Amino acid sequence: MSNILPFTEANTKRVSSLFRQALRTAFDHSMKWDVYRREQNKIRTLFDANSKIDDSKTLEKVIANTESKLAQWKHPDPYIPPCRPGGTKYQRNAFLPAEEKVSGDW
Amino acid sequence: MFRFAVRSVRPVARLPVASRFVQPIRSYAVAPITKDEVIKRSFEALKTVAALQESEISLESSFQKDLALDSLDTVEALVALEEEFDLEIPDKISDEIKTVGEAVNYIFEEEQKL
Repeated sequence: MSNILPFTEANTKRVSSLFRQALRTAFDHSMKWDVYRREQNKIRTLFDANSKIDDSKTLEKVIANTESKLAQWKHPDPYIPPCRPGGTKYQRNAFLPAEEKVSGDW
Repeated sequence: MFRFAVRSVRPVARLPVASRFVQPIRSYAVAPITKDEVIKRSFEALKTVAALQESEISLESSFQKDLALDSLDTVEALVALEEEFDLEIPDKISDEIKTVGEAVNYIFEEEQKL
C-alpha cells in the first residue's frame, strides 16, 4: 500500500474507507445521535484539512497517522445492526427446514 | 337466585364445534417493506446530508456527477442511508454504488433478506 499516489481512484477508495471506519467508530463510542453528529462534523473537518495534500510522502504519513488513531479508538464491542449477520435478532424467526425431521411413518 | 338468573342468560344455541377452531393465520411483526417506501425513506434520509439539502434528488442522479458531491460527501450520504435502514454497506459495495438508484436497489434487496 505504499505506491498509491494522491488524487487517484485507489487513494479515494482508501480514504473513503478510513472515513467510513472513523464515522462508525464515532458512533460505537457515543451511541447517541446528537453526540455522534458533532463528532461527525469534527471528523469531516479533520479529513478536509488534509484534502489538498499532493505529496505522496506526506500522504503516507497522514494516512498512517489516521490508521493508528483508528486502531487506538477501536471499540471492543462495536454496534452491529440487530437484523444483520452477527446481530441479536438475526435469523431469530428462521423458517423450518422443508424436509421431515424424523423419518418414518408416524 | 342470582345463579338462576345467570343460567337463564346463557345462550341456548351453541356454536357448532368445527367453527370454533379458527384457521391459524401467520402474522408478521412488520409488513415487508415495499420499493416505494424504500425510495421515500432514502430520499428523506439523503436530504439530511448537508451537501444534498438543496439538490434535486432522483433515482437516476449520480452522486458525483449530477449531485456534485466529492468522495467524502458520498460516504456521508451512504452512511446516512445505512443509519436510516439500520444496515452496514460493506466497503466493496459502497465503492461501486454511483447513483441513488443503485443504492436504493441494494437496500431493497437487503431488506428482502430479513
